[in-house]
Amino acid sequence: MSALRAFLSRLSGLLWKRGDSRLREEIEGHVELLAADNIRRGMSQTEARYAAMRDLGNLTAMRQEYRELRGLPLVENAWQDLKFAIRTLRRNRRFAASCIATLTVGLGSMITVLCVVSALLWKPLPYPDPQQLVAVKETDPRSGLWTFSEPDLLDVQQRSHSLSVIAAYRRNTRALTGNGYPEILQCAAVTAPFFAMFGMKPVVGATLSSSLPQVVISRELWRRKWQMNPRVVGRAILLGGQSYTIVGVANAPSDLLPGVDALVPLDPKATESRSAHEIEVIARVRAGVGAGQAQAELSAIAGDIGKDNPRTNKGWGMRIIPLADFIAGPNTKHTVWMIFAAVALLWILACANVAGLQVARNVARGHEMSTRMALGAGRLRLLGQRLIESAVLALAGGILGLLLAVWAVAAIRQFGADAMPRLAHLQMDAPMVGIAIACISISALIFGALSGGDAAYQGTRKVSRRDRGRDALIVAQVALASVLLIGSCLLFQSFLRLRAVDPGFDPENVLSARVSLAADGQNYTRRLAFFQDAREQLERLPLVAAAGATNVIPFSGYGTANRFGVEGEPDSGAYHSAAWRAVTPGLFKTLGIPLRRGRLFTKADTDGSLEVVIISESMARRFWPNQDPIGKRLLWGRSRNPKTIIGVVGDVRDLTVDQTPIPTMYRPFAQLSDPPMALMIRTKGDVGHAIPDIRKVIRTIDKDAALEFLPIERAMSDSILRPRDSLIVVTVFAVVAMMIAAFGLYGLISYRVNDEQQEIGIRLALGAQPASVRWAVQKRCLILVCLGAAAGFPISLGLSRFIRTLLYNTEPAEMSAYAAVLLILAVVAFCASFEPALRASKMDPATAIRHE
Amino acid sequence: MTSDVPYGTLDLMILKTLGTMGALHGFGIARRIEQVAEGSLALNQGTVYPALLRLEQKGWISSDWGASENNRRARFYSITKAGKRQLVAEEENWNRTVAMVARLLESRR
Repeated sequence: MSALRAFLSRLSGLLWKRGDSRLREEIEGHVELLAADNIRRGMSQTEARYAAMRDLGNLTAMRQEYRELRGLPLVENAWQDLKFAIRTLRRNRRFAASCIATLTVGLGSMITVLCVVSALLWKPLPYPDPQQLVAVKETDPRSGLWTFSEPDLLDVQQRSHSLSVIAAYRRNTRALTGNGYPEILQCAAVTAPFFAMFGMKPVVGATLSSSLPQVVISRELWRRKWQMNPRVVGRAILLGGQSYTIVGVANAPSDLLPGVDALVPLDPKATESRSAHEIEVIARVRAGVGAGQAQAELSAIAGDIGKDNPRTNKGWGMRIIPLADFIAGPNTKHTVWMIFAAVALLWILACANVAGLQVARNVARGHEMSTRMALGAGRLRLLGQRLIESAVLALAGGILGLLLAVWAVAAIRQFGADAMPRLAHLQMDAPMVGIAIACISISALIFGALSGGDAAYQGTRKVSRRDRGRDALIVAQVALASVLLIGSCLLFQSFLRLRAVDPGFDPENVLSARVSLAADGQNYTRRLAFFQDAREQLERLPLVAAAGATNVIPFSGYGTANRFGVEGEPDSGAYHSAAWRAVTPGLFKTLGIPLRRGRLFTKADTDGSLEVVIISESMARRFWPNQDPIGKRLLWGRSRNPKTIIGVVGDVRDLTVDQTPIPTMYRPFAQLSDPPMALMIRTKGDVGHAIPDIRKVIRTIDKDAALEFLPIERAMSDSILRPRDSLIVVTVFAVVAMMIAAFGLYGLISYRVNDEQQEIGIRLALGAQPASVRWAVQKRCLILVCLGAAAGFPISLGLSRFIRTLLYNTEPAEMSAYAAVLLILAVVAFCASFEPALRASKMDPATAIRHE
Repeated sequence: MTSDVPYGTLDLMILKTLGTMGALHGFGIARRIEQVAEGSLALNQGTVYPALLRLEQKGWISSDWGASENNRRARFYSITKAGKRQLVAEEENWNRTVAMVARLLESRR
């Protein structure tokens, strides 16, 4: 109690600097009273005063003791050191700036990546008891993961005891018609337990509880279509031509079902095929049951199902995956930790660089340290002072790093949320700021201790001026940076080549429109008529150059393939496989696929006429080498119906840009049964301008046809997003590593120059040309960088097989990438040493020689 | 023969002085201690001031400005209730220690 009181009183003494005057007044009074006493005893005035002073003892020591008692000496020393640190750092702007810049980059990237790790891997999912939630997948005999079939789900529901709740869903798209513009909605059919499992509370109305045709709509759709009118409950809407009653408004779990606007009932049936794997299963593991136990039970159930249904389920198993991992995706965890490791390495390098800079500075301050120790400063006090200086640097770098991270986090959230739904939760929240502060403090401790430990020696020892360790550190950093730079250059080259790839058709100004026809339009003849009418009427629009339809939208990530045989082949029973597309007559013109031989489809190629096919160039070359394929016949599919080849068109790449063109067969839509088709429209000028007119025309043909537009150019650039994303990540790392290495180089060279002022001064005084002095400094920097490159390039070659799969048409050992990196490194070396070199050459010899 | 103030006993001496004499200024306290010691104690009078501050911080004494014998402003210290309790405790403690040390010294004879 009294100790606390004493502390508070000391604290107040620290804040309000009274008491010095009080002590002075008390002492003066004391001396006077004592002197008066002495005079009474017969001393002279002066004598009495001297005697009084003598009796009081060592006043200086007493005052010191009093002062230390009054305040908190530790805090006061720290305050003093802080002021001193800021003063010295301001005097050494270059040193401070390179330290702070290094820390900003190192800490900024560290904090950003920690935020990403937290958002993707640490944050619990925003559902009740999320740690109990798992996804359940079926596994085929080769351990491939599959979605569930409906009868398998029902069996699991019946037999499992370790899973307390089991829900299932299936995503699809359906056209919403009858309310303003028809639109295509992202829908999901879900079983009843789904709602409680994800804690979904309806804003209005209720959730689904039966398999009646009812629908729960999202708040977004509610706002967009019904202006948040609460009386929407009970209304009927048409989804894919079927009538559903709205029972409530609630958002689907955004991590699991991003963008879903309507939830309808899913009613799994035992009569469905066991090989139709179409539904995802999410379950809650019963409290107190371990994941291993649940997995064992499911494996046993899968074994039983396999025994009962050997034809479909023999060798199949089941696997549970924590829901968080399921949502994050299969490789996310691995990738995120790799990135984390890389960033942690950069962070440690940044700290090491700052420590190196400080050690270099300690050398320059050796004299100051010796003087201070001679004057009685304790080692602890010197160490403390170093730590305070480190803390100031770490804090400045940390605050800037935090700002950098806030910016980076916002950018990643904006651009990354599409690819990874959970990134939508990415934010700089209180726990992350706490972790950031911890990182900053650890940084300060790391380089403070590294350099402070050295400082404590300074009084007695002179550190060797050429510190090989620092050189090695810088060389290692340059090597690391060069490895990353080479990776980035290779990816960049590959990306450029990918972008320059000719897909075999002209995607510019082509618009695709997924079409969903109303129920009465679903029958085949009506659909055929729709696409024929659409083509004719669209081509009459002034903004439309050509129109057609196909079953595969280029770069939609979806394609169709079929088997075929070659008529007259010796082994004519053999099957080959090729891609196939259903097309309408206008398609080749719309996409700009060139005709090489024969003819294209016309309106005359219909149901009753000769069954025809057009093949691609590569197919012609491969299966009819050195022959004219026109008039030859191929045997289509299992049924081996012969189709006559009437034309050969150019090869296209319509799945991914980096594929080699695959043999493709084109069939007229009019001769096929019922693939779902999409309109393709080539516009004159910007695709966006034509959309309103296109909508109008389509409505006149079928008022309930819903359209979903996507420009093919966008689809194509989206398809090279993955290479682009890895390019961005590697480039960011390369740049950060390069910056840290550059700041390290700058600091090193800068301090070497300071250190050698005398020597440089003498050389200048003896007539050395400033240019040669400048070159001498820059040469040293270049040598370090070249050593780094010499170490980094072989490592790059060694690692090349890891990057090969990411590269398109680019060899990992491509000389131009290495040359480019060498050039970048040379420029960095030049920039990092430019200022110190200039400073050296402009030195005044007279002051430089006198410098200590 | 004079001896130095044994470590830690100055606080006790000050508390006792204030406990018996009432409010006193620093000079008064120092003089009183010297008088009681009858020349057997070499007290650096200045050292009472840090001790007074320490006691005040612990809340055992309080201080206020007043007028000294020669009509100057002087700081007068007086013992607080907590200080009195502390004094009793420390006196007992001291007596126990002295008795213990005395027994120890006698037994060696």
